[in-house]
Amino acid sequence: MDVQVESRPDGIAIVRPAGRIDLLSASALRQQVAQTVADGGRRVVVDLAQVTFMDSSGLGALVGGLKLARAAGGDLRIARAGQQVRVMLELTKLDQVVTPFATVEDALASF
Amino acid sequence: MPVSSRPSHPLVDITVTATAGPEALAAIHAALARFWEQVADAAPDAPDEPWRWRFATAVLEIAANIVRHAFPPGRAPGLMRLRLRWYPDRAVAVFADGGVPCEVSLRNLRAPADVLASQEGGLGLWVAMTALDRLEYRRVRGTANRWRLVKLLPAARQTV
Repeated sequence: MDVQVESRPDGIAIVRPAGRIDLLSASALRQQVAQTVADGGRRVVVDLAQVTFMDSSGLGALVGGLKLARAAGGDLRIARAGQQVRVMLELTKLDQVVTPFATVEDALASF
Repeated sequence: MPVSSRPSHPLVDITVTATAGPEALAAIHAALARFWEQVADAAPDAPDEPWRWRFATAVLEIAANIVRHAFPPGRAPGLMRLRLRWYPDRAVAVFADGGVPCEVSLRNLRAPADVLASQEGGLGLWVAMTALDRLEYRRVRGTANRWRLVKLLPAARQTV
């Protein structure tokens, strides 16, 4: 899995993972979000448009990132979740914890 | 939810075998893709994408559970086998592996919010259980594990 990070002038970081976020790759996402927060990007948008599959390990990485961001005084949003990711969020009712936004722009505007 | 008697002939029947490691997950993703292609040919009125993703997600959660737990450090990874079958009223997946027994009780799985708050395991099994109509585990002859996953088609659920 590849993860790109865009640091915006307004201080919001957009994290863009690509591929599958699962048992094998979730730690890489978790570490990237942790590094982003440590670098000062307390407000994070995770753009999931290029994520083809996410399992419970991936969900755990997202929630872990949310906790880190909030502990730093910020927050984390997710955007452009595909069908399978939305199914995961609905099954676990974690769509009430990590609200999915339809677009990155909507997620940015929510801060 | 009770599941009616098993139909005799699957319309689609795919088996994949791999060493319980990273390559197994990739092989199962590929097998699921072939499975849905064949289901589309055999059953044009198959359920929609969310339904299929619930089944596939459950399959991949059990696969990940096997990869992560069935062959612990110090024990050489063994083979795991997945058989996917499509019947007129249900999808069935059966996993078999020769690893260590699963010690988690399917009756005592904790809700996701609690699991994520404590950072303990078990969320994958909970996801699979919630996505399916039936999830069964048993130890076979003291040497092998067998997981059976069943998801009823929507029309079949209405008659059960």
